[in-house]
Amino acid sequence: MDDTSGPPPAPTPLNFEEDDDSPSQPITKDAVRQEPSPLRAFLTSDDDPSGLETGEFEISYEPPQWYTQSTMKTDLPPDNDTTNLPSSDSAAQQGRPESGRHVLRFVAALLPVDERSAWLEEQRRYLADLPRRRARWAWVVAQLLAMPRYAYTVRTSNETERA
Amino acid sequence: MTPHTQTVLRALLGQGADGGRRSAALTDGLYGLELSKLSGLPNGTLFPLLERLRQAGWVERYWEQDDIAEAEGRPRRRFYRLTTKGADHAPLALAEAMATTPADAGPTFGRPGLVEGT
Repeated sequence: MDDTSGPPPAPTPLNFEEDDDSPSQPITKDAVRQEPSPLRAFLTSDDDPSGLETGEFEISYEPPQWYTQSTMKTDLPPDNDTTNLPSSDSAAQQGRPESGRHVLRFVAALLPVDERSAWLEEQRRYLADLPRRRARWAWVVAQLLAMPRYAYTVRTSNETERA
Repeated sequence: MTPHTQTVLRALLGQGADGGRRSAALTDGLYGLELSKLSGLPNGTLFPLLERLRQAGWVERYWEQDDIAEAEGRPRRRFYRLTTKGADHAPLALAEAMATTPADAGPTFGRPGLVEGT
């Protein structure tokens, strides 16, 4: 009697406790920083009614950046670089209201080129003299609204209205 | 002459709303922020008006001296003052405007098409 014609051997039951892929050591900071390994998937003949070949293939998968960053932040010390960012309060105390400058620089594009730098310097001085952030933003918004009319006045040298 | 122009000219002349002399030092020039507070005009009205007065030759603007600004570690200020032409013409123009404007007329503007009291 041929041994090969006998009944197929019973499949080995899965033992999750001895799975080689399970982490044997606790996750550390260095482990989180490792490059993500590709996922592995298995096809077996018992689970595949379509008759595909049994095999192993890899699924390329990279976790999104926000996920890895948030995972790394869990046990890492805070990033020291954030302390060097300029805060609006410190900028205001030093007479450097950074937030309004971008708007004014954008608005100044309507002015002639030779007028822009002088106008920006003048506005910077006004912002530095205004004590409160609310007043500075009110000034910036007012300049924003007034700029079309002001730019028209500057660009049209001929007098359109008698003083 | 519009009421807003009169207000700015009075501020540059150092006069109050009643025409009285406020301070002789104000005729030396006014910082834009001071001018805005004195006239009570919004930026959208004040700076185009100053630009028109400047184009007419009545107002000139000048920068603060560099050494003063550098000593205080801040940007330079820009001042506005009347030119000789403006100082000569502004009082006459203001007097003429006062004579032609009714005494009870304020600097406010009515809505076009609407008659007061209706």
